[in-house]
Amino acid sequence: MVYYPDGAWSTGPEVSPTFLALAALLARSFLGLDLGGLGEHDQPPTDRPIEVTDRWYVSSRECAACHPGEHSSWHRSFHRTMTQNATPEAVVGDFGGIELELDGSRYRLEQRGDEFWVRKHLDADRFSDRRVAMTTGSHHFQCYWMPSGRTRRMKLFDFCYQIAERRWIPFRAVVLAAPEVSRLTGVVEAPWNDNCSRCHSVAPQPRVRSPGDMDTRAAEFGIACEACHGPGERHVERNRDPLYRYRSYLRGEGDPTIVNPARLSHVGASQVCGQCHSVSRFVDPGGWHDTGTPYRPGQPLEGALELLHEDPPAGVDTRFWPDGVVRPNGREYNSLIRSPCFQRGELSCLSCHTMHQPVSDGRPSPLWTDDQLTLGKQGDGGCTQCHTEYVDPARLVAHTHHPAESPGSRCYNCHMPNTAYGLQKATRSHEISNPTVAETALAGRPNACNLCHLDRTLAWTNQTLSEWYGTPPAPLDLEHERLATGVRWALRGDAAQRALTAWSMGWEPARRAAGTDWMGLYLAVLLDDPYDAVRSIAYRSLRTLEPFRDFEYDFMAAPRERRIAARRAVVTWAESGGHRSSGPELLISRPGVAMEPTIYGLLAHRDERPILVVE
Amino acid sequence: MSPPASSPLRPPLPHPDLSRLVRRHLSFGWWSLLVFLVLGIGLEALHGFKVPWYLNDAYSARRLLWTLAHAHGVLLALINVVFAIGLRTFAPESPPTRASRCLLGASVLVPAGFALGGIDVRGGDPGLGIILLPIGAALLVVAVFLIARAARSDSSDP
Repeated sequence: MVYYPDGAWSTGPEVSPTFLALAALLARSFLGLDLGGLGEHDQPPTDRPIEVTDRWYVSSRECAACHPGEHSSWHRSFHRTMTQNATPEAVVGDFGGIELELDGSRYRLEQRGDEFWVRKHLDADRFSDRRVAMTTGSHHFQCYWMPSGRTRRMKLFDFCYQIAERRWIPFRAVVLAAPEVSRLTGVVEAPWNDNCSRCHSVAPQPRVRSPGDMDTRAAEFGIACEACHGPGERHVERNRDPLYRYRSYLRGEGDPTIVNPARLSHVGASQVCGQCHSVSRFVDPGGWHDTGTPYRPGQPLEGALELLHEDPPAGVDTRFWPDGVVRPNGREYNSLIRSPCFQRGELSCLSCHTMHQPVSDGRPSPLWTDDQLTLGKQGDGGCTQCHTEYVDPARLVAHTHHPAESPGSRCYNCHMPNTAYGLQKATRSHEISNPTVAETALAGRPNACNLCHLDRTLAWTNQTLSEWYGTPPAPLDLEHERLATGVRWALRGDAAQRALTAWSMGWEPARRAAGTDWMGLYLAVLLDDPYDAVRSIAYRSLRTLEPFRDFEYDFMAAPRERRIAARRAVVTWAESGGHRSSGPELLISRPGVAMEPTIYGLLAHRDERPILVVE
Repeated sequence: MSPPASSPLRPPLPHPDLSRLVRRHLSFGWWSLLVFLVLGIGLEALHGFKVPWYLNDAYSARRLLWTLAHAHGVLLALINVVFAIGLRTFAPESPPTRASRCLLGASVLVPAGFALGGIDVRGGDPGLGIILLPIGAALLVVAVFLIARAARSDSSDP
């Protein structure tokens, strides 16, 4: 195998280690060159997965020379950093002697030279040291992988670094999971090798010999060129011929030796994204564990993956709302293919998103990398490329019944509401649909109207949709009729509803539509939620309200301290000025006075169904 | 005693063709130098104003090609001037017309190939204008060969 300075290996041209050592010695002796310690790397590491370019893969290094623009924009994207070797350039977490504690275990994080270490205290005198080998993410969070000590199997460190907040939080607070759920399902124990590698590397081969024995390798860490374009060896070889290249340019037909998703049908292009952005399982799980995914871009997805449409009948609710809409962020393909725009039109992922920021897109790079939306498709432009009639403000207002420039007239706020959860935030459903009351009353999924109008009941929504669009009213129980949706979701909803509600209370369109003076009460109540993520989101939204700008709270504090803090927040809300809202639907008898017995009575009947939403 | 007719020390002959060649290469060389110096300033301006279609990674090939056009243009302009001075200094009996034509052709085609190739870049590949480059390069090789051969025969004359 051949070693590259960035830690990758190739099974390409075999060069004997003796030759390499001799070449290094000669170069150093006669030319004064240091060839990067070739002799030190003549064997790949044995305690972590390695990058090996075999099976017709060549890695992004080969692509950069001929596709510098595409390589550069990919290099800026968060796809690239989904798995990296833990180098000083890659690690963003603070390893400067930080002390952490979780469930009685104490950790100390240290940087030693170019290496990052986690010291776990076993008791007063004993400890174990583990080196961080790989990282995942660099956008909102970064998580860390350490050798498990058993072959190349990797173990996830219990904490992740929250980049914007510059703090370490437990992994179980990043996902939506009650502590007992995360322990029950072993989500923290899931190894990178046969789980995350599937989508966080190119052509992974878990090579699972037993649950503890894995000889994992991948063509490249991170989501690189060949994840979407397929293996590139033949393309590289064929395109060494300049006449071949210029024939391709002149014909303008593309090169058959590589897959360009932009030239595939809308189904094929979406499937390239769907290989990862879907809730699915391998048709042949044994084959996956042994030699990796059989899917190659351009081929039908069905041959490799079976899409799932509902959670198993028994167990933890994880991936779907009861009506089959996908709940976790990052699994948009299942939703997309249920959309009429995909089924009856030609909508694909690439209708709105672009994986390479073109030069003509003058936006600063971070604006593109955030969601990789094509310039002009961030707003209604994504929809009006087909639904051209709504470019006309008069037609738009007649359709939306909201002012043309208001959030209520933005296509995606009504047809792609924020009902997916991931990484402590709500994100848009990619199942393009019309808002209904039934999806909330029957399936529990927050509807688009009430994600803004949190202060309104479902009865109000029933009436409004009926008047505006002739939507048949959905049957409602007494609570749905009488309680504002934001109140009901916060007090009686399941963890996913509570997380989305807490996030929406910090979302500007909802704050404008529903007012904020009553929200502090319910965000205060959510500070004592059993789910780490719900508490964290609630605190983030709470701090955006004027009386709580300096409110001190630690969402990872002990339950008793959290309860005291929640109570303190309720009092702060009651004592703050500016109250205007009241009414039985908000459980506020008069401005600033909460109907506490009713509130805590409803809270006692909270939907405690275990929820686990992992991106 | 006067030096031999072909000696390098002999003063230039007022041969009309040779004079015309000298003037042509001097004129071409200096004007060409002016053009490519201005191009160099233009390229610096593109850097100065951070023009995306020149500095963006997607156009690294354009940056390279236009830099090469500038460099080769300047170098070939200077070679033309040196060639003209050489002609005047050594004054060969028969004007090196073929070498002159090849050198002028190369001085146009080589930088033009780089410059035009940089207009319509395709990833890491130059545009079709680059086809001028190998033709210019071949002319340059021929020109240098002819000049070298003439210099050798001149210098070997008694």
